[in-house]
Amino acid sequence: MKRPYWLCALALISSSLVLAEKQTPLSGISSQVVTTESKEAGVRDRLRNQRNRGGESFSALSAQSYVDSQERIAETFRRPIPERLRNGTSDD
Amino acid sequence: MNKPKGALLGLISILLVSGCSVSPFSDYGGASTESAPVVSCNSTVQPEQQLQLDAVDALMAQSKPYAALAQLESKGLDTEHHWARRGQLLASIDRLDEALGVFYELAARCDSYRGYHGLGMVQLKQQKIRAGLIALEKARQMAPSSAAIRNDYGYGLLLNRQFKPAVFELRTALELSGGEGAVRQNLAAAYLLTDDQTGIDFLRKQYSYSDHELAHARRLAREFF
Repeated sequence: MKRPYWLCALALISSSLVLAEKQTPLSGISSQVVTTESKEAGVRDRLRNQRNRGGESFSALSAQSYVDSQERIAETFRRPIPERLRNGTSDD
Repeated sequence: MNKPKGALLGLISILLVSGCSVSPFSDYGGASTESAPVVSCNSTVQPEQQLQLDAVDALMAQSKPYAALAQLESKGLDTEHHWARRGQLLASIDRLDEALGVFYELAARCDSYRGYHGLGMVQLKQQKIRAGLIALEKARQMAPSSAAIRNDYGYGLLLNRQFKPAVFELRTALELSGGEGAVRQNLAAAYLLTDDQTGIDFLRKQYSYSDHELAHARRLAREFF
């Protein structure tokens, strides 16, 4: 008697996955007279997509290097400023 | 409403008789001059104004057009950038006549490419294809590297059954946008309408088009027959 329950669960999960994949793609007019996404987010997304596609053939700056350096810079702002600047290998 | 329409018809007649080229405003049948918004053509944004625009943009990105409009109105619409957002927001909540009025004023008074873009966009939405294409072509001349303008112009060409020119505009828009957005479907439909299998293969290979996307593009292409 318990078998139908897991079959129903499996059918529900499968149908939800199918529905998610079948979302209608965007088409038509852009309706975007003004670009509202931040310039930095747009550049970062484009560079990440470029990296995933294998990168451009010719570039003065490696896309991966740029993305990595921007992420490192952002990380430094997230770390708190240490109260005392001292050598980390100290036994104190 | 009769006087402005009469004046407009008179203007069109003069243009036809004189043989002048049609302007982006010739099919404009929007608000009379008495009720037209008084837009600002100032394009310089002060820091405090940028903060306000950023707040508006954040609400727009969250799909909260009513809140965004309220935020715009809270401190006055002091620059062209404010008015362009107002027009876009009005269009997004289907207040198309008011949006048309804003974009018309931005185009006519400020010679703003955003004004021409918005004017053409709203005219396409109102099925004024010929007028929309004229306005969008002007926007394209002024801002050729805008992905949104190239997409909308290309889509307008599809609506006007100019499929080959549409391919050129939409391919440009696709590359400018990094392969994202509505242009993916529009270009696929344009390739299908021009029987360009090489183009379809290119989209599959370079932009990872799925079978699901192409199936939808086929349905979209049928709407232009």
